[in-house]
Amino acid sequence: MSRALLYKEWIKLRLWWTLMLAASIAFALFLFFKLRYIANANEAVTVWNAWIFKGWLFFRPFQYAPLVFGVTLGFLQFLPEMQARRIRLALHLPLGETRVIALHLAAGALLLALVLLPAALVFSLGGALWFPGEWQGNLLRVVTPWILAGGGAYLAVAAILLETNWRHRVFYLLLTAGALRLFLLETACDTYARILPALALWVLALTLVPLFSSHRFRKGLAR
Amino acid sequence: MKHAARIFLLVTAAALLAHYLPIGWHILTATRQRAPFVNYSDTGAGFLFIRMEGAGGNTRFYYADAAGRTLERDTFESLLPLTYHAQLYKNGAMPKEIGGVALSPGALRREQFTLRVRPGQLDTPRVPLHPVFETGDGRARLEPPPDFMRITGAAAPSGSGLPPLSEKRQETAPTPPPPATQASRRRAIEFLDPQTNTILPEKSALYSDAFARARFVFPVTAAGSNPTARKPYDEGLYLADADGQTFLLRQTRGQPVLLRVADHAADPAAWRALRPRHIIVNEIETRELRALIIDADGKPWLAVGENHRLVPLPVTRYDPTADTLSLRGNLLHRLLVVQTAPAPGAAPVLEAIALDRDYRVLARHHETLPDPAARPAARAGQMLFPLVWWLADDTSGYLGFHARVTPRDLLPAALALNALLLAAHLLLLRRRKTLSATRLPDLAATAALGLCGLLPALLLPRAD
Repeated sequence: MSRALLYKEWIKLRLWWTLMLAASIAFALFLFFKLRYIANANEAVTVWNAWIFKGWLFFRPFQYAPLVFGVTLGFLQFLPEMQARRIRLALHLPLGETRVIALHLAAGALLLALVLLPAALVFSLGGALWFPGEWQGNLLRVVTPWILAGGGAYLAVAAILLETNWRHRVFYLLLTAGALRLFLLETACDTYARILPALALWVLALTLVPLFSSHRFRKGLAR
Repeated sequence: MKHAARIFLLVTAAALLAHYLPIGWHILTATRQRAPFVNYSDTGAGFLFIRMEGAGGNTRFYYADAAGRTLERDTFESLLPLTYHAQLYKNGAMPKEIGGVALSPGALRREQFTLRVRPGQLDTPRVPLHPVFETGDGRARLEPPPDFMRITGAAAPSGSGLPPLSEKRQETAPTPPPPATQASRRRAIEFLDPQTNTILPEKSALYSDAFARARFVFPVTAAGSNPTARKPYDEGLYLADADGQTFLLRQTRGQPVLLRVADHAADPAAWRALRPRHIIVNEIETRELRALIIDADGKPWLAVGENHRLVPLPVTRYDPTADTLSLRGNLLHRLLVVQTAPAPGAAPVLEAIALDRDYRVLARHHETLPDPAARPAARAGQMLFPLVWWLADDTSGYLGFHARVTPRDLLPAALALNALLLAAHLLLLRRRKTLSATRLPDLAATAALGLCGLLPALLLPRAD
């Protein structure tokens, strides 16, 4: 039954997911070719100096892309489920309400990861053409909060859509907007290095919120 | 799950309010407050200050001496001819000499320097690649080096000067140089060529041998250089090894010159005992200042002159993790200024020490600055928000979890306010007929965090 549920999610999202994947790869390739242009148009030492002393990683425009993909995927996955309350059918499956929603979330998180992974590979492998291992380390520590913000945004949208009370929806929206802002501060390379584990743990714990919303939905707790 | 989720939401919302509400409070209530700018008179008038008075939009700067007398701007500038020489030359009021020292525009410019050390610049992320400037290429201006040095500290090949096995093979059957990311067969020192993004094997071997010959013990515990070509000359790269010994690395005509500073210093014993934690290099035209070193105990030292004389800076209190230190110099003297950071229950302190050119103390000035946390609005904020946290702090270039709790003197008031809010919370729950054991986390949040706990507790969805 779990596989059937995952297949249902795939059927629902495959067209949109393909479009998002294409958009993600296209954006990543655009940034890669922009870096290639920068590397060709400037002295290599100048480009390295910009990285080492100014903290330029050349992929900064991608910062908000995971957030946009996370929000979009969350809407595309859960908005149809909440229209006419179709999710009720899934919640009545013998799998149990928590497991059903967890499977929905796992499917969405996997698809989001697969949207972002090729872009991350383009950055990493592309950057390796011009930069050494230290640059890859910087990239990892800079991109990770963006990806975590994307995951957090996806979970937040799921929680907001599964919640039935508008007051609580607004509360969740403000809460996650305030929290996710802290993932996307304009800072130099590696400044997030010391707090990345805490941010990752918070996003992991955020999984509880859509499960909580679905519990309230199932029990009819509108207040 | 439902209770865990609700507690997670409560903690997150309370934490976010404890982050954002104090920022909002600060934006609403903050006033302009600036520490006085300290000078030391070149004409014997002692310490002179540019101070700020007033509040809000009605602030103004004024000039004062150490006795608190207000000075006219022209008088103030005439007491600091080495600082305001451009204006005094324009007015035709510039003295020809002071205390037998002839003043000329060229000498004034050459001798003037400023060195500032902020805690955020000491603890900040850095890419561990160093440019090694060529100091003996005969060019009038420094040129950025074409490669970067990586210190791996990997077990270096023996100091025999023999190339490693891989390069021996290279002689007979040439292979492309290893990519800059390759970790196998690493040398202690690797030079990376940005043009090809590869390791330069010959230069890496040359430098690795130089480090082995100098008996440098890896890993590097402190490194300091001024990695810019916009400077009058290159001092080199200071490195402290695992034994705490300080080395100076330079490149002359493509050859590495690695010196143990203690072997070339006027006071070798002091250098051997020194355990550098931070090394700050800022080349000035006179080449007098070699480096500012902060040792493992947080004590600042200057390395001055050709023989690296080690001068302890005579500060009475300086914590490099929180305080700001600046050293300004001119033709006649040096001025050392330390401004401590405000701490709970301790106002910031400004200490200025005037030194002669031989770094002997001429005069000291000590002043307690107005504590920004002592303003009524700031105290009200500390009462309203018992716990405040933030990510970006002046003390570090890294983001971290920095927090402040209500100071002890305001604690009774803050607790009383929290108790009031807790009573109101209890009343509200009773009126709504929702007072139960499941509400204990909400009540605990109100009791501990006051407003930041109460607001989310009221807005949170029910779990059952």
